[in-house]
Amino acid sequence: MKLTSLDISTAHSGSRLDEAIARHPGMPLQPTHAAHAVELAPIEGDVRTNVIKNLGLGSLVDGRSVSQIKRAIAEGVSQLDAVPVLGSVAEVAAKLGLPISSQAMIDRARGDASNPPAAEIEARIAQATEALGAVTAKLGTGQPPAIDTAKLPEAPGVAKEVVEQREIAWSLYQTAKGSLQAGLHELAEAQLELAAAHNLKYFNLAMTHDGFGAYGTDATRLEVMRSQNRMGMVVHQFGLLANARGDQQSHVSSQIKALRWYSDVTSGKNIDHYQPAAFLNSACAYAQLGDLDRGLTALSDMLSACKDDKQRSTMKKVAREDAELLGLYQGHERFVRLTAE
Amino acid sequence: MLSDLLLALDAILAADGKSTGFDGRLVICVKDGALREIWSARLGERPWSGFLTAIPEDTDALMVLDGVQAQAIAEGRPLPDPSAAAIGGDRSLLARFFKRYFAFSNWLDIRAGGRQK
Repeated sequence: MKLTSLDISTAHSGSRLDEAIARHPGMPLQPTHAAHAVELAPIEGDVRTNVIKNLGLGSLVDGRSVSQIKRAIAEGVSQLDAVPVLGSVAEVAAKLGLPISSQAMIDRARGDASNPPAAEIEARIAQATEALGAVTAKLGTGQPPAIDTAKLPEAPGVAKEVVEQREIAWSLYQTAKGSLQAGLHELAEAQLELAAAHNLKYFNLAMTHDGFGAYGTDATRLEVMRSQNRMGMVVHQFGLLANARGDQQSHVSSQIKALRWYSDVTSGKNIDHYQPAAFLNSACAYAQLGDLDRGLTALSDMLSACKDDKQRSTMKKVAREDAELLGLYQGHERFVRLTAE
Repeated sequence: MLSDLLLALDAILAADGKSTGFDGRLVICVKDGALREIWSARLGERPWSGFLTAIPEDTDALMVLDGVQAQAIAEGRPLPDPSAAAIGGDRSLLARFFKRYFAFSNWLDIRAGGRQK
């Protein structure tokens, strides 16, 4: 089973990523982290971004606490009054040879944490649909299979349109992942864009649907969690795509964004025992960033968050059979121990 | 290599997650010769930040630094050759951004109570 099919229900134990992080407050980066990063991939930007983003600003960066860094930046920018205003943004960009893009969807860390208005999401879907159509026409490939709305899975207490968007996004995601694995980067990108757009709609609907609402019932809250987890998975694939293209900066940025989505899932209530899936996905993103230790902590939290031994056994099996995880943690003794039967 | 300054800004904004209380998009670019790192923050009710390949057309404020200047800011050292840096667009948005996230009261346009656009 692939990591990306980890969209399963899982168990509550009160274990949270934040709590796991709290167990290691202020943990400085050790040389071994860097060594892992080098072994795994030449990730620029290393794990500092990851650490300071995901530790509630409680860790050390280059030996300084985040509050020290904030104070330093405050000091630094206090001198910026001497920096001249050279004109409008366009004028300055032109003067300094910086590119300006009119693309509405320029943000490379797609799937950001915002929840844009419905009209914006619809525009994004339309744009991504058109772009995918252009790519498939160019490459002569077929469109992803359409979802048969008459055969949507049962989801008691959840509006049909929520389920519909969920399934469309999931289907696109799976297709995109296949395209990426086949090396069809341009196609994968277009499919991921559309998957992200539909998943954003799924998230938006789950959060706001009339009669249910984000905080109305556990059924709708579960859909919010699921949409957040899947958003992280889509963004994770964007990162792998960037990595395949040699764009390490985007790879790192995307993995961090993915962790933010997973953190949304793992830091809230563990509805229907869903959190272990997000912990497992976090382990993968951490490893992609070169931070195996935090990945292993996430795996440990995954096990703690399971509702019972049966679920724990399932999650262990998923982890030890996942190709991406296996590649990242190859031969790592603690990984083997955590995922052993 | 990502600039420490941009990494820190990105992390701090992401970890905060709360409404900024004002809207706008700002871009900070660290430029060294042909190399450039472009970081953008969309400020508002649900702030967002990330690294881009180009400056979005709807950017309200742009600040361009070189690598040495960015590192000096990250380390709280005096800004080398400030006149070599550049700001474009709405300077007050930058001021409000830094005030919002770094809580200090002695830089530029904190006097600009509302953003003009």
